Amino acid sequence: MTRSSAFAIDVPDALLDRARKREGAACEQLYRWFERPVYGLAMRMLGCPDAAMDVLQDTFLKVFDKLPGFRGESPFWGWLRQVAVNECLMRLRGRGRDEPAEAEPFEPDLIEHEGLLPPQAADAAALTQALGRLPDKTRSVLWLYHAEGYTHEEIAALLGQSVSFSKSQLARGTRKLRTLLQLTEASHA
Amino acid sequence: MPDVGHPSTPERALPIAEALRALPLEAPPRSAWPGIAAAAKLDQPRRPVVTRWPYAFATAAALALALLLPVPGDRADGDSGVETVANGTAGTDTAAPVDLPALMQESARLERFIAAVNDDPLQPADALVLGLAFEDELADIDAALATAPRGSRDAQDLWQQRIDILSRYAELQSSRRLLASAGQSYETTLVALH
Repeated sequence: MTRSSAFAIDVPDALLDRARKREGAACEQLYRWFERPVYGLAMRMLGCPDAAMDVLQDTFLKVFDKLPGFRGESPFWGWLRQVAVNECLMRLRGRGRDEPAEAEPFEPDLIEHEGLLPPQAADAAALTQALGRLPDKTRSVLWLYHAEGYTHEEIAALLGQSVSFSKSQLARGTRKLRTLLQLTEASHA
Repeated sequence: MPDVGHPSTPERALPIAEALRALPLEAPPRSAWPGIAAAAKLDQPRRPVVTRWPYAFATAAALALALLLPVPGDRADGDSGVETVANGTAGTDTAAPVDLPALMQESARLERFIAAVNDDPLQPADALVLGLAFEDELADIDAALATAPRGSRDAQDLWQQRIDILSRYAELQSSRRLLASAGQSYETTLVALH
């Protein structure tokens, strides 16, 4: 079964209108619908519960503040998700964890079978643990591309990097993830 | 235990996108809403008094169904969310010290369980109404938790109440799914009981 982004929730215009007027009940409803997608995204990108809580709070504060300017030309969920991604990226930059692109050698593109993870990936705990061992930026590229459906062009723009950098991070992250899961599998064999 | 809603065929390789998207959504350890509402200075009307009848109905239905129906999963092996909750509730009767992180973890685990069970776009209206009633109950507790000193007896009691509510809702939803799989609904089962 393949699910679309966890953010993909259609919000009625009437609810958005009430939230634009800063009606508490409407804003709370939006929070309840998007609490887990925002927190989950932040956990995947930042890997830290405290930082994810900060992203959760700051994302909604910005969304409610900027909601009067949201014209509805794109889905609300996509706009909210972009605010959350920006909050995550801001914290990643603030941590000083960004590795300069030049420090990493170019990673060859994945060949077809490398897009498959070993069966151990069906174990959510094992997959989560393996993801947690990837560098923040690599994990973020992996998550944005595969789980949220961003394109390499969009990821490159978000990170202020080239498209080939995004592709290289994706290939590197996928290979590392496969290796980490295979190691887990071997240790349990 | 197999992860709810996660691919359960460990014999085959998985496309990476499928594996990542199937990961369960993590729930925050506490609600950020009270802080957001205060910081955003939203127009917050006093929360209306929650009508208790759906909640009482839900509890009665869950109890009645629990007497008649096998709960999904084997209660004896502790694999079912409901079983763990029953243990947690029973724990309040003992004098053993309460482990707050354990309560918080149990609460988060139950929320994940409910989220997985609720991942059903075709829920009947009665289930949605009951869900809203439970959410109101949880919102009241979350608001109280936001002001309770961390580690205090009040906080422990509130977390225990949260688990009690979630466990009842989990049991109700489990029963609903079981009934739905047999082509039945709450109402027909309750009528049959009487």
